[in-house]
Formats: sequence, structure tokens, C-alpha cells
Amino acid sequence: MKVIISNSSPEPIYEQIGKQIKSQIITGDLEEGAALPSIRKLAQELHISVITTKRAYEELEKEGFIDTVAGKGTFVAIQNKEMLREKKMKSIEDQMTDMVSEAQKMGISLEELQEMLLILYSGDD
Amino acid sequence: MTNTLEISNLSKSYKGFHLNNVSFTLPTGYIMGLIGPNGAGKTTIIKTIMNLVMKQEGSVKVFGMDHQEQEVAIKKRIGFVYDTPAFYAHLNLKQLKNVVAPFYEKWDDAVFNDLVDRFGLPENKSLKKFSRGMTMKASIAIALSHDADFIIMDEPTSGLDPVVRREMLDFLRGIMQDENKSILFSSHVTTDIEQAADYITYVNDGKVVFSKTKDEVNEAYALVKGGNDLLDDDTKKSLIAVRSGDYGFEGLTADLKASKMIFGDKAVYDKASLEDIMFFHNLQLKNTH
Amino acid sequence: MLKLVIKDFRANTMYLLLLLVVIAGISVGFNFSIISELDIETELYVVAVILSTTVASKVFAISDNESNADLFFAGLPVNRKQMVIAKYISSAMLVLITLGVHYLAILLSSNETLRMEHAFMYQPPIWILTFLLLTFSDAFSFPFFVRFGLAKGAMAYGTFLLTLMIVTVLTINMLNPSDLLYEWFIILTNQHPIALISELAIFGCLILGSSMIISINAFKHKDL
Repeated sequence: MKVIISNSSPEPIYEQIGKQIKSQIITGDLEEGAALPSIRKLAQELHISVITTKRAYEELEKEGFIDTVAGKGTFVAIQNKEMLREKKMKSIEDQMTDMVSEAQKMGISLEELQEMLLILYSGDD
Repeated sequence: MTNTLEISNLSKSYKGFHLNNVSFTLPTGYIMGLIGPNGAGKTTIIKTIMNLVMKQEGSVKVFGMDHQEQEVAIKKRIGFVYDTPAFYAHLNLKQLKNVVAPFYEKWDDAVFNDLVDRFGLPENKSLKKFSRGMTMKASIAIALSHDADFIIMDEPTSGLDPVVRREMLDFLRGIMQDENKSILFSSHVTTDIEQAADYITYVNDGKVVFSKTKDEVNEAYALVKGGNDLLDDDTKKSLIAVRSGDYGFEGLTADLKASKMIFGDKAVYDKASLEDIMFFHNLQLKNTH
Repeated sequence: MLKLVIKDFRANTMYLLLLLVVIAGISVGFNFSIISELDIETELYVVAVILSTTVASKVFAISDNESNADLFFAGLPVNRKQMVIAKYISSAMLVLITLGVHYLAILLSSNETLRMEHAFMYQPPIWILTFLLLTFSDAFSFPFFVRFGLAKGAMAYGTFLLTLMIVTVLTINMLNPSDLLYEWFIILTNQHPIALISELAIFGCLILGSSMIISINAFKHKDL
């Protein structure tokens, strides 16, 4: 697990943590059932308040990404494959939205974009 | 959630100083930073909890017990560090340890020796030859070797250089890996509190200005900056205090959302540091006097 | 409480050793002066004993005051009452030890002739009596030190003693003490020394008790 927080970012720290863990679960970097550090351990490592890490974990748990087992610790949730896929699709869609809006700003046409995507997807250099 | 410390309506008057209706709560498992300018009442609050200074009104509960009725039972579980450690200066650290250790059933020499090693303290040097930093470290080693559940420290980082200061705060975080422990420490240095505290209690002029989690403070408070045309009597009211110059104003808000509604896009919103918060609250205090 | 008493002795070992060496020196010196016919008055020795013992009774208070120890120890698992009582006990113990050393030193360094000529100096009852008297007078001083601290306390106690003496002198001058009381005292001292000591002990306990109550109350409400 990798978490890097920025104190100068306008985004609250608990959201930064949540986002990074979430994306690592979606990409599979954090596997199902993998143990996460305790909220106290993580707070100590990141030099932030226990309340902040606790809040980040609570949000993640609410969204179904992680499970907390009393007395054992916190783990990446065993997810419904369908749901995980949906979440991953949603994440791709989000990135594509960003991409499209960037392309529109630059005046890149749909055809050009499709061509770029085709090249990238088939892996040709 | 249980509370390690509950203070309600605490009052105490000295000549020229008045601690006024102080109330705050520290839940078990967290670090609270007590911040405020010198002379704001931090030490008096801490000394009152410890019964070193006698309260005049209000109640103090530690571990759910009255701090005067159950004094001995409570103090067995407290590790206390004074702002100016008072030891028998003619003793060395080892001798001091031998004097203090018998007072605690849970005293652990191994923990003590480990801390002494870690802090690099000489055991056979007379305490009066210790520097300020060494004295503070010795005081902390003495206070933390009986597995205390509640650690109270008055200005533990004052007089320490930045490196040792950072070590000290890291050390406190280490203690907090055990969720049954709680820490209350005072400091007039805002960065100490920003680095280590879960809860922040800000005291000024003998009163509690606020007692909140650090996240709440970070989210609620902000600096609002803009042109002087944005300021009128109404908009000023939404700010705690304002400092304005020829080219614009800077003010502190305790409610970022509300301020955004009032000032809109024309103003700039910046994170407020604890120092900003203290500065503007102090300004407000001056304005009302 | 016992821990607080032990702590006084433990924290001041060096001072105590020094004090006891000086005390033993005074007593041995007194014997030596008599043997070598230097003609040092016995009264001077008695004053030295009382002075050294009075210093001893204040050693712990002085040491605590020097290092602000009240503040430190009040942070440990003890309450104010225990702190006061412990200080009475440790101080009385030190007075006892001091007199014990005086007595042993003077006894061991004496010879047959001395013990014959100055018999009263070598008898335990006179020492017990001294111990009781010193402890009582100490009891008077304690509340002042607790209430006002060492320096101001010493002044307050001095003023108190002076006033007490003036009042006593005036009272004796104005009213003649009853002959009966005087006679009773003479009989007691001559015929029943043990009864005198017990009377004094009872009287002393009353003084000690009330002194402790005053000290505890003063210390309980003191901001450290």
C-alpha cells in the first residue's frame, strides 16, 4: 500500500487517503483480503491525526471497499466481482470524461482521439 | 467512547488572573493539545487537574472519577511532566529514579532504562548539570515508566531544539498505538499542536475559545482575502476579526461555507494555520476590550 | 506514606551523613574538652545539642524547599495529608536519630570519672526529655512553614515565639503562679520522673495533634 498526502492540497486529508486506497483496490494493487494497517499505525506513519485516518477508513467501509473485523483488523473487502467491475468501469469512465474535456479544450476531433485510442489499445508503438 | 478527562465550569481567580468557566473533554485514545499565548491559563488548568492548584468552582473528572476524592487512585495512572521540572537537583538520574520508583506499583525499570538510552541521558551525572533539553527528557522518562494511562505534559517541548522536538512528538505518537492511552499537552508553539494533536483546545485570557478535533478546526476556519469594497458592516460581522490595508483585507472566518456564500467568487479563501487563528482571535479580544 | 518518609532519607543521604558526623564531633569534643580541662561550660554543650538538633529537624524541609520538591511529589500518587504527616514523622525520626548519635557519642567517648562527675549528662531520661521537648517545639513551628514557606515561615514563627515569651513573662509577673501547681511540679521532678515524662508526652501529643491538623488544613488549600 502506498499513501502520499499533501498538506498544501485543498482536498481534505481523509479524502486524499480514501482516494488513494480506493484506486489501489480498483487497480488490484491491493488484493482482496489484504490487511490494511491499523488506523493508529497509519496515523503514526503519516504524521496525522488518528481521527483523520479513522474517518478515511469509515468512508471506505461505507462504500464497501474495506471491512473491519473487531479485534483482528481492517481488510480489503471480498467484493462482488460484478460490483468491482462496475466500479472499475466507473473509474475508467471518469478518466475518459477528463480526457474528452481536455481534448475538446485543445480542439482535438473525435476521429483524432479515436485513432490515438486505437493505437494505444492495440499496443503498437 | 469513554472520556479520560472531563472538565466542566472550572473557575479560579488569582491576583490579576481569572480562569473563567473552563469546560472541555478528552476522549480516551487521543492526544489533546492545549494552546494559547503565555499567561492564557494553560498551566493553571493543568495544575488544577493535578490538584496542585485548588479550584474554586466546577468539576474535574479523570477516568470518570472526581480528581480530589480519588486523588491517589487517579495519580497512580497519570504520568505528569512539569513545565519547569522540580527535582532534587543534587541527585543523579539513577538516584532520582530510586526515590520515585517505589511510589508506583507498575514501575518498570526496563522501560525506564530503555527511555534513558533512547534519550541518551547520563545516569550518573548530577541533575543540576543537565541542560534544559536533558531535564525535560529526564522528566519525561520519569513520567512514562509506570505504564500511565493518561500523560499530562506542560510545555514539554519548550526549550528544545527542533530535532529533539520532532523526536519527542514522534515518541508521543508511538505511545498512542495503544488505544487506552490519552495525552494532554500544552504548548504555545502552534506547530507542535498541528503535528501531534487529535484535539485542539484553544485558551485565551482564561477562557476556552474552542475545543475541537484538528480536522474540524482545519475545515471550519479559513482566511478570507479580498478588496476593501467587499467589506461593510454586515460582511464584517461574519468574520472573527479583520485586518485591512490600502490594497485589500484579510480576515478569519470560523465558517468557511457561510463566508463563501457571503463573499462569493470575489474573495480568495486560504487555509488558516493555528497561528492565523490565534492571531485573529487575539485581535478580536483587543477590539472588544 | 511510608514511601514519603523513606524518600526523605533516601534523597538526602549525603546531607544526613555530614550532619551526623558533625553531631558526633560535637559530643566527642565536649568530653575531650572536659578531660583536657579546657573548662567549656556544660550550658554551651546543651545549647550546641539543641541547636544541632533543631537544624536536623529542618533538614528535610530545607532540602524540599531548595528543590521545590513539594510540587514534584504532589504530582505522585499521594495526597496532601500524607505529605504533611510524613514530614512530621521523618523530621521527628531525624531528631531522634540526632539525639541518639549525640548520646552514643558522648557515652562511648567518656570514662568512669566523667560519668561520675557529670552523671546527669549520661542518663537516658534527660535525653528522652530533650527529645520530647524538641519535638513539641518543632510542632509549633511546622504550621508556619507549611503556610508561609521556609523564609517567611521562619519569620512568622520567630514573631510567634517572641509574642509567646512576652505574654508568658507578663503573665508570670502579673499573677503569681499558684503554689500548688509549683509544688506539684517539684514533687513530680524529684520523685516521679517517669510520671513527668508521661505527663509531658500526653501534653505533647495534644500539641502535635493540633499542630498536624493546622498544617494539613493549611497545606490542603495551598496552591503549589
